[in-house]
Amino acid sequence: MTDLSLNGRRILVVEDEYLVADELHMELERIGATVIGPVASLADAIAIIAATPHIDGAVLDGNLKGEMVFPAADQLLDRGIPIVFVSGYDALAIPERFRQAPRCDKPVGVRRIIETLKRALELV
Amino acid sequence: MASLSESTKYQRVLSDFGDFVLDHEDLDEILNEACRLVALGLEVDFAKVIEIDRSDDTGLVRAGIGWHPGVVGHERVSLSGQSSEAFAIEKAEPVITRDIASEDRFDFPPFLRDHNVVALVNVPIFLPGRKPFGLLQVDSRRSRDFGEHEIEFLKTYAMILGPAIDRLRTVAALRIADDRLQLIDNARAYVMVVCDADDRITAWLGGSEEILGWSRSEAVGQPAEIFFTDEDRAQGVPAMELARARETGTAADVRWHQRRDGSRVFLDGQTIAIRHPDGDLRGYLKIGQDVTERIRTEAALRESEERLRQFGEASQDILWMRDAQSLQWQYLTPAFEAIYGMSRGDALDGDNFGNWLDLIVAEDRPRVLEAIERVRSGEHVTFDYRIRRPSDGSIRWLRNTDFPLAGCDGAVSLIGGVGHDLTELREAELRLQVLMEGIPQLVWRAMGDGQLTWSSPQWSEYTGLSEEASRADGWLKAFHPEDRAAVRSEWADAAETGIFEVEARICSSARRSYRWFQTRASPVRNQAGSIIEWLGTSTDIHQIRDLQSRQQVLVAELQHRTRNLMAVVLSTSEKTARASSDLADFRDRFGDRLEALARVQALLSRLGEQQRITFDELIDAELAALEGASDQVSVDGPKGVRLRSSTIQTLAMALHELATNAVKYGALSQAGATLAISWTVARATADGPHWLHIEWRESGVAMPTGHPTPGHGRELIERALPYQLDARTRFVLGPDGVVCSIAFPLPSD
Repeated sequence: MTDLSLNGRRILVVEDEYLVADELHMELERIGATVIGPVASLADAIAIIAATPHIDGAVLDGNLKGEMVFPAADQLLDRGIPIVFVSGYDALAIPERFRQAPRCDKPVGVRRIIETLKRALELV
Repeated sequence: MASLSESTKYQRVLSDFGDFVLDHEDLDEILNEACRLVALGLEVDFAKVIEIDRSDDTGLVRAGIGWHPGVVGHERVSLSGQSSEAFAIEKAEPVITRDIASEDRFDFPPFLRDHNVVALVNVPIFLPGRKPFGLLQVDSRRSRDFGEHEIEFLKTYAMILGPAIDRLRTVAALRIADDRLQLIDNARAYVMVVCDADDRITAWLGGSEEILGWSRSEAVGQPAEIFFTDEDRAQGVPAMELARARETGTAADVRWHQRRDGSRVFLDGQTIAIRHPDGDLRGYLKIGQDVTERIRTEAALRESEERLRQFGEASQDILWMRDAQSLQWQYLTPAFEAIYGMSRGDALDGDNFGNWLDLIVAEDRPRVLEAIERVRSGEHVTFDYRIRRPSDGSIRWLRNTDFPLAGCDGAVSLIGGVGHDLTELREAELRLQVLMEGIPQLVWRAMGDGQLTWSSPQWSEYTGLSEEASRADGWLKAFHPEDRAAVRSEWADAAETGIFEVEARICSSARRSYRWFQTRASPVRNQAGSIIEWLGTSTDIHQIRDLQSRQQVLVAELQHRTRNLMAVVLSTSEKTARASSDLADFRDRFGDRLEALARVQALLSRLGEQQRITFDELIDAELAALEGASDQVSVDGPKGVRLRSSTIQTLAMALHELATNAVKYGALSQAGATLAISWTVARATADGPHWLHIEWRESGVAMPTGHPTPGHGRELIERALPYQLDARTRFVLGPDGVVCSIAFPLPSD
């Protein structure tokens, strides 16, 4: 039976590691989501958020080639869009204001990221 | 046989004399009357009484009748040799001389002849106990005989005379003694005791009762040694004293005595032997003054002086006294020798003030002289100075506390002083100062509320605030305005916690910037445990803080890389699994890719901070892993092209895929085929970033018809590198081999 649990959802993927981004991309599409991006830099992330009126959720890598993803996260939070952080850093490195956002610590399998995303979207 | 009238006459003479004696007490009157009556009775011209004086063996004409003036009380007769008087005393019998002219037994004194005496009778007078007193003499101008009755009368008369004389002498002596005793008895400040020859108390006079405690009735009859101390009695002192008094007349009696109640009293007096005129011992007079108070005071004074002396001898400090006028030392304690390294004898010799000044270091001398001048004018002065010890030339620091000592007239007569050796303290202080000023920390002292009392030169040098300007609250200006509240609140808690520790920024006046300091202080407490002050240091921890924060970044970065790497490994395994025909195939491919990843990590981990991997290193590492076939490979490009670390992993994986494909299917799988790797660095625009252009060109490869698409490698080149490195890539399967070009921007440094 085909899993289409994210059918029709528009999910932004911000991840600078190609292999991870690619796999996430493929898996999200497999379960019916439409992937916005993926993008690998903060500038691209901010640009694509501004240019995309409809975003249902986002998976954000914490560190993008040395830049922290938080400005982009702020914009998403402002719009009330659920986000999931995927981070190579400890919880300490995440500012207080993002405490509520679910977080997956690398290394993490794609399936777990998606499970976390589903919870953030209150689909489970 | 005497006639009745003669007998009656003699009886009458004796009876008249008896009456006279009863009515009179003056010996001279009685003796003169005796002479008058006897001359009358015997009808002679002269009569006299001669008293023996043993001191020169003469007899004094004590009384008489009929004699010219100048005889009675003056004339003396010899009692030695050929005198009739001496003969009569010796025989104890009357001696009669009928006619001096025909007498050949005796010599006669001239005054007898002057009075034309012709006949005389000497009758000895004896006092009770047959002690000779002298002679009764009757003298006649005519030659005559003296009958038996007349002689008997004279003998009887002399026998009555003896006791009468004795009684009168005793009465006279007693009267004198009585008068004297009365005087003596009024002298209550003196112990006066009269004892008999056996040293039994017969009179207890003056202040004896008050001073010694026994009443007169208790004392009289007791041996005098009752008021000697037990020790003196045990040693026979009383007897020795009496013996000395007997020998020399008096014996000093200056010693402690004992009162009736056993307490002690010091008597200063003497014991006098009292003798009868004839020299026989009659007894002793002991007389003494109670000087107990004086003796006790003197003893206390001596004790106090002795204590003061011992105190001075034992003192580690020098105690001295000098004359306020001459400034010469009069007293100097032994501590001087230890401190000055010279004997007191040498120090006190000659002009000792001048010699002392010479020992003082020249530049300190004016200060010392000024201080002494002030003491002379009545001040207490404490001053420090240095001396140079003559013995070894070493310098000693001394602190003198000098004070004036006023004489009876209130003027300063002496200067007293205490000299304390400060040398070790000074040296310790100096060492501490060197330490405090030498350590890199800023050192300071403060009161409990943070009021600064002292700061080290380092503090002033660093902050630009003078020590004075830093006092009290002044130091706070050096702290960063944002940190001042924290520093203040730490002071507020410090008294309670006993700890002051705060990290805050302090402004460097030289750099004109704030640096982080750890400021700590420890309380100095008194014996009761109360905090007297705080000793603090401020340590520059700016660099440590920088290093710490950088280390935090590095640790975070390392964590990030590792976790990313694992994510890549995870993804790679997924991709490899999807592309593998079976498990063996997966194992080969996946192992290969892990090795490539490992090589990149090895390169990265060797890097120091700020260092970068160069492109030639990356290529060399990859080619070295190919093992052999190096003759088919040519490499051409500038060395030292530095790559951004975040780009290396993906770039290395892409190159690895190219190399793997070349080994499996391409240039390195066929003899005669070649692989040329070349690169250049160029700018696209004049002010844009530098780009690295890489070309991978295989040639001479017989392309197999069934050449599989190099899926993973091609994906990395065509999609991953543009995605991650903003690279522009091209991958072409040419007629004789793969041609691939990769270009991406380099970091600006």
